[in-house]
Amino acid sequence: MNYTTPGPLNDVFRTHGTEELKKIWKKWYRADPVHAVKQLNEPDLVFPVLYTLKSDLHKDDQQLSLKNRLALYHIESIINGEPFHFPMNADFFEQHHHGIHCLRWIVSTGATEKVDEHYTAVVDGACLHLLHHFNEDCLGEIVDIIFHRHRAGEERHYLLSAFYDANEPQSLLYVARYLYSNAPEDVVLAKKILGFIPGVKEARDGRESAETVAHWLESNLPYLIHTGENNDSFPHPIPYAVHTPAKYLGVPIDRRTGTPYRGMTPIERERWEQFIRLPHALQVRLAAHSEQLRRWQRQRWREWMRQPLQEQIRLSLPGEGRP
Amino acid sequence: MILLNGQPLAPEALTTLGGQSASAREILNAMATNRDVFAFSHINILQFDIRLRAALVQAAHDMNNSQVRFATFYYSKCNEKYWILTEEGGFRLRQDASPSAAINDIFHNGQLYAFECATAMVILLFKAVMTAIGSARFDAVYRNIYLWDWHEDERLPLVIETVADHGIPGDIRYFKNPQVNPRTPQWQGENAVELPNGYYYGHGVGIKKADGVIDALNKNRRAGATVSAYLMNRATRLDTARLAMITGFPGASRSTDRSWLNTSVGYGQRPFYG
Repeated sequence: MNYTTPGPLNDVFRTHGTEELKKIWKKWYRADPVHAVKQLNEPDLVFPVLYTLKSDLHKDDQQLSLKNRLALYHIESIINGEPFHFPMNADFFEQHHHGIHCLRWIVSTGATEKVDEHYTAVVDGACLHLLHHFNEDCLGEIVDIIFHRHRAGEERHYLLSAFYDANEPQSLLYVARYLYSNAPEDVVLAKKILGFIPGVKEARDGRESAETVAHWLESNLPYLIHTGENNDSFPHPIPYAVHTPAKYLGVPIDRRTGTPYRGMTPIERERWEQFIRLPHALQVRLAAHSEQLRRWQRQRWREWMRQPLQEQIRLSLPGEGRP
Repeated sequence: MILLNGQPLAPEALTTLGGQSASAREILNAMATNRDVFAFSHINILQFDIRLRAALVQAAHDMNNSQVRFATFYYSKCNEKYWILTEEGGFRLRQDASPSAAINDIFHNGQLYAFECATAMVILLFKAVMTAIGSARFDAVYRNIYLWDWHEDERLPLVIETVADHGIPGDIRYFKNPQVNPRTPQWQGENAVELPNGYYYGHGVGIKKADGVIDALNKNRRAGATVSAYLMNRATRLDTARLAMITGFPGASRSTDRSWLNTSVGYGQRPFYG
């Protein structure tokens, strides 16, 4: 998080805490209101400072920067459930970008602090708005916050749910980075989140677990279904599942619906019908074989796919399919 | 379908096992008429399973009638005589507190408690186990309890199984709200105990039929939402055989082998063309 550019108020917050910050700012305000507000409008101000001083500020104060006013609206919206009105006349698309700028500032400068009992909800709200209202890619930041809070024993439930529900399987790689962490609690959480991927829990160390995740994504990404499971729904959620018929046929699918991105030929449909009658464990193995052959020896894969299903099994999985 | 030692349970056994309890009869009937297979290696484990499920159903009614309130994890609260409130909104049992008294306190002094729906499910599971094995045994096994979210406790073994047919009273189901309003993330879904006669208990929504739970969730979707909330097709269940071993319930030495159950039905088993 960005604390590299200190300003006077940031320094007071970090070195003296919230009560002292309130006292000092009030003193400045009484002495020189213009200067005091100017300090708040400094671009390097961190969000926890504004949050700490919120009861002394008004969201419609024209002297405050637009970013600060938007942040105050956001705080009231989360804590009191008040509507979030944009505080000035502006083009709709301009509003959009101002909103993103403000929320990203809250997250980037304030996510690892805890000022009072409402503060975590305010930061979480900024993350959820970025993700769901603005469709902003902030999953890397969200993962970092989740792990920070896990280490600190702080609330992270809703951010983790949002991460699962984002339907972005490649973002699992953000979690996989923590498999290399020197902090054992990071590795525990990373393995818990990624444990639905075969082999992750059984791997000998973090590096092997991370390689398992990368390999699984390489092999399955176009064939994943987003199940909707998350940490709110089940103790061991499986957020993504491999659509084995699609993987077997090499037909990429829409993660939400399972529908293929292209129409299937009559032969593919017939093969699909045959394939789904196989026991599930055999489907998994045959689909894996098909994917590997397709990736490394495409011409051989085409020839293999022309064989009857039982012949494919005989050729690639000796010992399978016999009574 | 119920299998006992690999054999279908005889119809007359259903009457005997059900006994006088309407709840037990409903549970047995729901298992017996189900296309999903419920396999037990020992009659005692089946009885333990029924007892736990009946206790879970009763606990859900008791919680519904208590004064506990719903709260997001940010604003959880508990009776600090028994529990320590943690920074993540969980309740950690005080070392000098009796586990059974602490769990019972949630139901008796509900006005002192507020928590999320996933935490509610874990509380109900502990309450059901306590009812099934008795307070003395419960106090001996569960000296340390942490109630938070779906926090794992190896002494409370859970399995998640596919519900291909219909659920069983005492299952914990999940209603998902995929287009929840980001301002109210607590409405992202509802954990609910399956009750007899098609009812569900969810902490925060009360006792309702599935449509009622879905309606409550749909009222908290984002503007322009097009996808309704829905009941997911998996259920969280106590792993009765393992729990019997942990708690020393009679018959535990002959644990149920669940490995052959088809609980990993693959996605895409229906045609993805028209």
